[in-house]
Amino acid sequence: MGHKTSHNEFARLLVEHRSVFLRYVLTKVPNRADAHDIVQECSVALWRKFEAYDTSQPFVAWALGFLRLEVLKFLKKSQKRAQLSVHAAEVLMEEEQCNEQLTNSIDKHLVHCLEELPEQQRAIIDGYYYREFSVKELATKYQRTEQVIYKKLQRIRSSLQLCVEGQIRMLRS
Amino acid sequence: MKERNWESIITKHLDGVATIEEVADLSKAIESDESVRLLYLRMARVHAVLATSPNDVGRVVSIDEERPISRRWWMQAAAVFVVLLASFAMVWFEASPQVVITDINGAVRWTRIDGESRYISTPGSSVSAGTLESMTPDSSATLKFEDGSTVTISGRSNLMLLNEDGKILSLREGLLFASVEPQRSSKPLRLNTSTAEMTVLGTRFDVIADDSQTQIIVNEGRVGLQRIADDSTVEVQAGYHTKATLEALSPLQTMAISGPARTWKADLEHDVDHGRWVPVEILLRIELGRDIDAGRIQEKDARQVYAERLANVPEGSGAIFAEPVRNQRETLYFSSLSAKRNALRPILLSAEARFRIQGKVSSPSGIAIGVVASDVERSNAGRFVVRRRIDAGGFDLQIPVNELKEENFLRGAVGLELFSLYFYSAESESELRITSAELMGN
Repeated sequence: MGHKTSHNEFARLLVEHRSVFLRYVLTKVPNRADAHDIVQECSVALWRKFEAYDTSQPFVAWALGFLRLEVLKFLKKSQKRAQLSVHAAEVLMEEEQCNEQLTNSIDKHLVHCLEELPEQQRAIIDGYYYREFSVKELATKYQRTEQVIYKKLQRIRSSLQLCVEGQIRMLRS
Repeated sequence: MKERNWESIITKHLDGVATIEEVADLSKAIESDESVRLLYLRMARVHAVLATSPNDVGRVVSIDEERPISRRWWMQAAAVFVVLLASFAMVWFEASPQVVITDINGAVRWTRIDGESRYISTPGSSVSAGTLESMTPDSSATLKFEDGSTVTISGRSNLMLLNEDGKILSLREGLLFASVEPQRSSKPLRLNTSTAEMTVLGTRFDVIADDSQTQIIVNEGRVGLQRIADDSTVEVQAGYHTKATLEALSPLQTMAISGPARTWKADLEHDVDHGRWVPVEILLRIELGRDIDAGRIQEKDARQVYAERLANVPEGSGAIFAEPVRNQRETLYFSSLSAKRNALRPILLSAEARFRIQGKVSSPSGIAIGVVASDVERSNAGRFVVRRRIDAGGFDLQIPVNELKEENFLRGAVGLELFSLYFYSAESESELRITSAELMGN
């Protein structure tokens, strides 16, 4: 594969699977800015090694191997902050591997469960996750305390989780 | 390691507000305890999906744009569903705990978790995870669980069953009565609202909830309540009630339920459940505008006339204008008042009492005046109604309690506890408005 073709192919794969990589990181490093940095760092490493990538193999599985190392590297150097321990992250990675089907199901069903949310709860999720308002900004916007907004986010995620699990159980039945 | 509320700590970690010590404890728990590990993964995965690109699957900004994705998925899944339908039904009905809708009044809608929605007009349907709505101020529905526990929603209420056995409920808004059989302490019935989370081990209680507050009245047994605003908890014993608001402005505390009252005057502005509250200042301005248009007063005198009229009406007065509600068959123009939300005492409907209802209609109209009331056991809630034909203009009706009957005329409201009072007309041109509602003694 020529350099330009190779670059185009790499960029395509990266764009196509970027959200998979971000989700993989976010379960161990929940801060979005940190997660984006890790994926960015990993993209550089992946590009360097891309010549060695066997195109007959799944790209995601190949890339996740690098991403795993990048997450652990980040956690090692961030232990003075409130981050999970490296060992805890490793245990989670193993568990995720065993429960790959479950995590895929969560992704799939969450779309439907989001649609079930009442208007105000959707607006809070929209504000926090997509418009990237801080909790403080949301508290001002809704004339509530920050604590109430945190609690609301907790409740919304909890409802979504229960909804997703309900759907998964229903389909299993 | 200290015993921790892992769900709360995981949430704080996901939102970046957990302390170093909390995250260190969480890490240890993830390493050593599979249940914490799985809980963490489930919660973190939801966070991760929500936090990824707006163009991705988790986007909620434009729900309409997502529906095709959802539809496509369901179309693909439909084939599998058809094949599995028979076995699914067998497994479902044999293995899943049953929750049955045992009583229906008025417009009641059930929406399954997959989005399929239908009105229910007869009792007997089995349900699992989904949403039950009583759509109008005079509608209600009762769910009966496998263990004999019952939950009734009444008036405009919305109850989600979050899991298949129905033991995790979420009351978005409305009025709920529950009679819960003793539960295993490891698996209590949980009821969430926007402002509180309740844990129920076996009891009878009433809950009134909306976006900003939850009131619980415990009639038997006890209920644990956690206020969402600050995580403070309280155990509400029989004969006590408490209120959890969205803001933790004062300590959460329980108060004894006072003895019953036999009279009650509605605070229209604060008791309104359905309908549009319009304060007298606005009503007078509208009236003044009409008088000017009709030439009954001069524009230059308007300010003085307004001041004179305002001086002659009681402070805080106004009217509730009926608003349309659609049921399966027709549109009705409803207003309703809660007799529980702000009342300090239960209100009993005695045989000698009567309602005095004042208001106005713009054209000759038939109106229905009804109450939702229940016995102390909460096993026999009902709607009791009378109908009156009234002429255009102001009206002042006296409705003896002993004239209020169920639609089948078998049962009256005497001796029951009042929950709400409602009014409706089927005629939009009646512009039904209520200016005063009162339960009077002898």
